[in-house]
This record gives sequence, C-alpha cells and structure tokens, in this order.
Amino acid sequence: MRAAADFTERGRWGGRLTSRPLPTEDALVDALRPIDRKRLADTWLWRASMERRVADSFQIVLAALRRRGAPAPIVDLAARAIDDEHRHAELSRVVASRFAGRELPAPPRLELEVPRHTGASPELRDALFVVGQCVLNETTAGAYLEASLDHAEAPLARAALRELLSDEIDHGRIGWAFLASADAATRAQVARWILPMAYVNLRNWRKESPDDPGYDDVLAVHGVPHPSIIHAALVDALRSLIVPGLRELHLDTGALERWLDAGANTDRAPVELLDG
Amino acid sequence: MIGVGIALAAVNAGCTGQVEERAGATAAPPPIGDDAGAHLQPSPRQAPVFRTPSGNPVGPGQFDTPDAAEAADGSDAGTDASALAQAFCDYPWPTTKGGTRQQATPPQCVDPLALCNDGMMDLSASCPDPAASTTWSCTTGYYSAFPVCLQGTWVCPTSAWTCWNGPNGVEIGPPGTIPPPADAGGD
Repeated sequence: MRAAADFTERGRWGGRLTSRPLPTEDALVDALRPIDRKRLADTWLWRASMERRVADSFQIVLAALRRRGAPAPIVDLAARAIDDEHRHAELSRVVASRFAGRELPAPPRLELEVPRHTGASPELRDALFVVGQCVLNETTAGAYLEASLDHAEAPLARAALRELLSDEIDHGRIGWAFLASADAATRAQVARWILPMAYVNLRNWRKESPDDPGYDDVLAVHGVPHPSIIHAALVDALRSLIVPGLRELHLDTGALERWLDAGANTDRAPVELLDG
Repeated sequence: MIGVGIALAAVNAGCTGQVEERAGATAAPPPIGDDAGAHLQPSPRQAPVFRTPSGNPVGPGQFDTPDAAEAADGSDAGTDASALAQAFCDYPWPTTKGGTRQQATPPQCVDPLALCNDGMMDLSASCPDPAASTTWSCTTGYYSAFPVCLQGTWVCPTSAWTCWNGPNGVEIGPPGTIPPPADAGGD
C-alpha cells in the first residue's frame, strides 16, 4: 500500500522504486527483538519524512538553476532529483514497514524552511541555494550513507543504502558542476558564505543524530550507525571531499579549514574565523 | 556600521542555531516553478526564532541592517560582514537522511469486523497531502484528513483508493465525486 504515487515513469528507473528489487527475505530482520524492530521502523520512517522534504528542496534548486541559465544537463539532473527524493521517501517507508511487520502509512509531510541568505543579491542567493543543497548537503549525505553501508550487514538495509547512495552522488554533482560553470566573480562571492553554510549544515546533521546512551550496536547492522560514526564521517567529508573540491575550483577555503582545524565545533558560531 | 555590530554581538551571544524546530508540521506545498525561492522575504511563517542561551526569543528583526535591506533590492552585498554573521543563524537545508532521529510509528489499529472502514480515525496523525485526496471515507462519506483504519492498518485516502469492500459491498467513488448524502446518515 502506498499513500501516494509521487514518483513517476519519467524518473531514473522508469517508475520503478529501485534499480533492483529489494530482498524479500532477511533473516537478520527476522531475528531482531521487537524493541529493536520498533526502533528501526521509527528511524526509517523519520528518514522517509526527511526524504520527502528534500524533494521540496530540489524544487527550489531547480528553479534557481533555471533562473541562472545553468547548462541543460545540470537542470535535467536537478529535475530528476525531485523524482529521486520521492522514491527515497517511499523506499524508506517500505523499509520501515518491513521492520514494523506491517504496512505503515507515509509520515506527515514536513515543512521546508528555505535558507534566507539575507543580504545576498538574488543572483548570489540562487547560487547559494545550489551550493548549499548540493555541494554541502548532498556531498555530506553521500559520506553519511557510505559510513552507514560500511557498518550495515543486513541484506535489506544494504540494498536500500546502495540505492540511496547511487542517487546522492549524482545530486552532489549538480552543485559541483554548477560551481564549475560559474564565473570567477560568483565563485568568489560564494566562497565567503561557505563557512556559515557548512556550519549550519553540520549543526543540523548533528541535531538529527544526537548522542544516544541507549544505542545498541544491532542498529548499525540495519543501516543506523552510532552517532559518533556519523559525526566523524561528516567532518571527514568536509575535510577530504568538500575542501579539496572547492580549492580545485579556486574558492578560498581558509575560514572553513580553520574551523575544521579547531574541531568543527557547532555549539558556537565561529564568527571570528570569517575573512575580512 | 551599527548593524554589523548588533549582528555579530547577537550571533556571539546566543545564535547557536536554535532555529525553531518545525518537525512534524504538515506543510503547505512549496512554490513550484521557476519562481520557487526567488523572492523569499521574512514572514510570520518563514521568520526563524532565535533563542539566547537563557531561552529568550530574539526576533529576526534584530539582525536587520541597512545593508541587508539594500541587498534585498538587488544590490550586491554578498560579502557584507553583517550578512555573513547572520548566515550562521540561517535555516540549514534539511538533512536528506534524517540521521538517527525517529518518527513514532502509529499504533496498529484494530478492525474486528473487517469492514472497509470501521470509522476509526487516528486523530494524532494527519494524511500527508490532504489536498490531493479526492476520495471519501466509506462509512462517513466525508473526506478524511486523518488516517483511517482499513483492515488493521492506518491508511490515507488517495486518488487511487476506493472502497473495494465497502458497506453492503458498494464501491464508493469514483475519485473526485461526492458520495450520496444518505451515506452521511444522521450527521
């Protein structure tokens, strides 16, 4: 039972939910204690609601790319990303239902609060939309999924994570390709916003994966790694993927690197690290 | 610039990212099309609420500066220091995966009579996109904005949903039609 057919035959897999069918049997799921099944169902259902909201994020990104006259392949990929995120929402609901042992309804739709980027010109704001969602959010999402996959053992979780990861890499490319096509002046302006955007992004990820004294290692087997693993993967992505990528495109990453070197603290805004 | 000082001071004083949590709120559909996100202006719905360490809300107006106002009109103030300071308090893009937080799954409902719809509604939840739902719950004849119990599972009516096992075996529909008034009974 699906609550709504939000993805279409125009999507990546021609209307199918996944590239390959999910495993129909998973002995590791069957062996779970009820309390762990409930926890995993709740976690994957929350993910479904988050994925649904990111479909709305990509509506904003797609419109920004069109306004800025971005190359057609980038625009097309952003349009596909909307469909991808709808599939991710449904995929996560399906996985949650498998843990629950019954069909779960789609979770309530979450409201999207779009970054305001107060003080930026309309042109710069559009660029920041693309960079914030794709270069930062989707690249860190890829790192998060890789970390999850590294620790997952159950066939169902591994299959679901692989499906998610294959799309997320493409979504990150939207941002990198857009930035590569931008002129030097735009890149220079974007560079000054990187630290605050990385800060709020990492802070939000940490909020979504709070420390949990009651965490059980069996959760990692099913695609929910320990928060400390998530946090380490995110910081590593900033340092080993995003900083080198930005430098390759000649963006000044000094402030971002100083913040990372200082421990990437998200308890206090590192205003003093801003350049000039 | 006084505005810069205020912004920096406010950020340092307590803008630690306490943008008000809205998780769980049912969303209005975002603007679709080429104008999506183009002319974002602070509004009662959009305006974030910042909180100081003591928990006192600090309105977004505190951060308004002449520079920001000019930029909203289209000038290039992308490198303005106060704008960058405010950016530490901006909304993040929502994470795509949800980390380890949880959405409580609804309790399994009970439908002992195995009717199409025994009339139970989960009033603690809401259907994900009520505006798109054009069918009607079987027993009441009313559109349901809340999940209804269907053979042991909470479901939301959708455009594809029909009561294949409705009262008296009557299928109610098709989607988008209003059921006969008599179906509403004594309401």
